[in-house]
Amino acid sequence: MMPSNDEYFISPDRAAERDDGAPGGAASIGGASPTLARWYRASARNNCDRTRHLNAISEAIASARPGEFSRDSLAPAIDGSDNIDAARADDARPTMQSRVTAASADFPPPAPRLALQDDGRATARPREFLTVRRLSRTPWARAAALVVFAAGGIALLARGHREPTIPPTAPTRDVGFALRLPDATVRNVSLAGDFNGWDASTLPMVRDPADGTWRVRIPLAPGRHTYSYVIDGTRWVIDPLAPRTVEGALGPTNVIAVMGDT
Amino acid sequence: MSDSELIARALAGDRAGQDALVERYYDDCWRYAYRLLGDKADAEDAVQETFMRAMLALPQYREHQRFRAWLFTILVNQCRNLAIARSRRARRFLGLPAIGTDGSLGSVAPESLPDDELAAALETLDPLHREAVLLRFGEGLGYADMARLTGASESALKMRVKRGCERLRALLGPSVTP
Repeated sequence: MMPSNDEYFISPDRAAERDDGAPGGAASIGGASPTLARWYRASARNNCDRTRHLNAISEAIASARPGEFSRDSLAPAIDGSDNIDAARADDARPTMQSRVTAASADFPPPAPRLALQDDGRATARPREFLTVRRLSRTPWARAAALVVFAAGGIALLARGHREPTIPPTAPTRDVGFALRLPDATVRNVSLAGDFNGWDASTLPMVRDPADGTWRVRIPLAPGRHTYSYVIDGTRWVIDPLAPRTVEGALGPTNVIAVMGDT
Repeated sequence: MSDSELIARALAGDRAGQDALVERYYDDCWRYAYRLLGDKADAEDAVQETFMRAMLALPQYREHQRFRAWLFTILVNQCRNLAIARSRRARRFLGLPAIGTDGSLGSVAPESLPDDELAAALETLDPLHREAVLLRFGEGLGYADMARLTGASESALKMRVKRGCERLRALLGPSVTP
């Protein structure tokens, strides 16, 4: 009988049992070899120059320019809040994370679930589907719905089936992308996303020598767009601090929602 | 000294407190980065960048969070960036590692230690699958914790672990002793 994955790649607590000499029913890899958990937990110190690296880290933190990481710019990575509004308000300030800016790149506020009455009491907002359901209990409403449904079907048959189309003249919005890269050895950065077929060559970004930020501004149609940055034509990176990432076919990408005219 | 005390010292600009905090979690971060990336230079980059960002973002840290989990959120993102960038390069320029007709790794010498086989097999996994397998079986995390760390859903993570395990079993199966 095949062992389960948990048995095959023994979890750390079970690996500890085996260390104590308890007869294990779980599988091990290669007999004398420990499991994945034990392999993982084996010291990796032999593979690193710990003292030198710790010193390098300490120096790197100490030499980071004041203001290079602003409180607002790092917040989204920590608390998962949306960084787009902050980026809109502060496009000029250098940050480590990439920032997407657009006059309309924010999200509509959620509809309040409670309504405040004149006397100060909060009451639950009626839910629309309940109203529809009450209406549907009346015979005349059912009959009217049937007539409308039948008329719609006949109209569709008369016109033939058509795929819904997005008007070709849908207004676009200018959206600014900014990626701060302190690394001065980077030669070029480009933007690639679903809006340009993930082509790393069509949207080069321009470096601002004043603060090392790479920028590009492009028109985008309303909707949801996914994108990544391409460094020196080979390194595909996402903004590691941006909370809005989605899983794409080739890995995670950043995502932005562009709102249309309302 | 507790994490909270070290964090308070680091926030007050005490470099010794900051260094102590880094040193306390260095080994954990190094182990994950090195096991995931399998490359010393990449692991060094990931760990250094993680601590740099964490220390400079320290004012955003909230006491109710576990510092290690907070730190690992940043580390996982850094490693993921590097792993995916490297994977794309490999796909573009090198192709996938050779796999023998018997399912073994063609590049692994017969006298290789089993641990090396395991490392080599992990190296062939999709970066996201490798990440999920290591968090699950290396770090010993539950799926809820993994979801918080990676931002992926629990069902997606279970699928990644399943796929990763299937791949590892295919590569390592003959050497397994029940």
